[in-house]
Amino acid sequence: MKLTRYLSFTKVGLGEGLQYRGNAVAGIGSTVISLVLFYYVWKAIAASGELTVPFSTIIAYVALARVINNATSANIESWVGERVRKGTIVNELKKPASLKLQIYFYQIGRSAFKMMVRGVPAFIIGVIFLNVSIPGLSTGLLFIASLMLTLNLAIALSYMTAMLVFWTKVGWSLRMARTTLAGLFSGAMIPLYLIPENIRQVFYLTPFPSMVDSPISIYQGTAENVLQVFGTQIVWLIILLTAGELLWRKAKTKITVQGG
Amino acid sequence: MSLIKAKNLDKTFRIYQRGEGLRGYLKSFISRDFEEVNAVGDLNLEIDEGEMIGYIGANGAGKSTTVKMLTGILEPSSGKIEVDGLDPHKHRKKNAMNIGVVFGQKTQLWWDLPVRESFKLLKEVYEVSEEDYEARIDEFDEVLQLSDFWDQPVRKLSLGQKMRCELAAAFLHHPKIVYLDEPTIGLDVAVKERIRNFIKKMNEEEEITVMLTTHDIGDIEDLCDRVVVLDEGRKIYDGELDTLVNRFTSRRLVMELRDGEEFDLEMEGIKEVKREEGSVEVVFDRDEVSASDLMRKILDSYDVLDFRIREPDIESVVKKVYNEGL
Repeated sequence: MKLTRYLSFTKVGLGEGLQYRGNAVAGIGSTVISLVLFYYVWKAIAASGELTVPFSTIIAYVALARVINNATSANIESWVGERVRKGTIVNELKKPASLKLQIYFYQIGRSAFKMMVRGVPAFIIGVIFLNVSIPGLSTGLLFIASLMLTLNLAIALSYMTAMLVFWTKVGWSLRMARTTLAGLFSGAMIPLYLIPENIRQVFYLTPFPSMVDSPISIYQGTAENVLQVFGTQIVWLIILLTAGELLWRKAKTKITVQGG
Repeated sequence: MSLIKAKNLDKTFRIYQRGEGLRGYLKSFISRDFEEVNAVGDLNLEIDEGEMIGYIGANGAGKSTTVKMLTGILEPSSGKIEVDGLDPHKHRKKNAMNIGVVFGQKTQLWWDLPVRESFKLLKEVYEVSEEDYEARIDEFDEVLQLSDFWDQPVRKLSLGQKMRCELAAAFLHHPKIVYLDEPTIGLDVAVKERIRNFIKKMNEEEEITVMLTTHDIGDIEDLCDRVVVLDEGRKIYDGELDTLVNRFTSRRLVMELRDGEEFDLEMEGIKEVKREEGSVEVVFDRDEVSASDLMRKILDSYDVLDFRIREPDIESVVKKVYNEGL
């Protein structure tokens, strides 16, 4: 595998995002709206007096969760789904490059774009308005490392469910299922420390906390054992990549290409 | 030595049945019946290096399925394929380096990006060197005139412009074989002409083997000496285009007789006489009577003002093959 061959897919992924200025503006706009929404929802919950954790801590968690979610969201299900449904996946399969790596490197480009137009603005808003502190250098670097693992986890998970498209022929329903589960279990909606202990333990048996809660715990310094956090992320990455690969091998023999 | 060899190739798909109406949909949603459809059956094919073959058949005859198997995208249900010594499905990536493919109805260009970006990607993916790439694009530009729209996003191109790009993309990396699946579909005459010239040039100058599926008889007449006809997944003809034509059409002699003269000749070899206002069309079988013998006989007995032999038209041949089989 020569890297330059695959990096051209990253360039295309990034380039596609940059083609539309409206896309970037809409990305920033929706980030602002969702942050305002989250702010008032949590403020209302805090006003009920039920929370054991200070509002300022929670809102910083929620803001960071938006940053991570925005910067690492992948939608490979729809990408593969559209190609399988219309039969244009033949164009990926006729190239002397593995489908998996074409998707991976393309998605990295898409993610880089999302990080710029949806991740960075969310972070800036978080720092200015939502009590997100600027971390020290070492914490910052550890957070970025963990965020990169999250990015890979998001791609690996989306790729794995995308492989099911070869059976279902439709991508969006798979994506809905994945994002719903991930939204709840990862910490993207509710800070995981607010979840009752015994339920939370079940969440930690899934890969989802590694995708939002883990990098935040590093950022906020609440992780008890940083090495364990990284270890868990890496183990899940290996599991998801393996599962995706096994599904692809099964899918490969099942491929039927639609249309003439 | 054949470059492409397919032996007893077979591809069976499962087609799931859907019931009729909402009730039927619900029923098939819960339990699905399927039918096995044999898209390609017992196909044997050998193509030599430098050949240009036309692969024709009605819609759904199995042409595209064959191309997808030869390119390694689909795995055959049974049978064996060897393309330049490789099993294209097992060694998909390696095989892909040797081939170029155009799927006429499925553009490989990146919709939102300028044309050149799609080519830059292909340059990297096929490992084409910088100098070679430049030279190649210049060369293609002469025939296909890509520079007219090189910097425009693909979504703004016309169908003909997109197809010119697709063609250039398929030949960019000096492939040994190019498969063209309906490359001229929906194009106007001028663009078709340009594309055919380009394919011809590539085949002549670089001995690139071309397999062409099409519904356009002009493509075949212009480009291919050899045709393979597929019907319901089976090969029903493989040979020279001329032979196919001769086998399927009778020649026609059309003439104009002096006013009031009645044509009533009966002769062996004449299969049909059609009388129209002012002209008479005689359909004859070339195996039984030659055109010159027939002509001599007619000129002896009638006062002919004008005549012409109507050349067989390949379209009607193909129609006949599709409708009746061989």
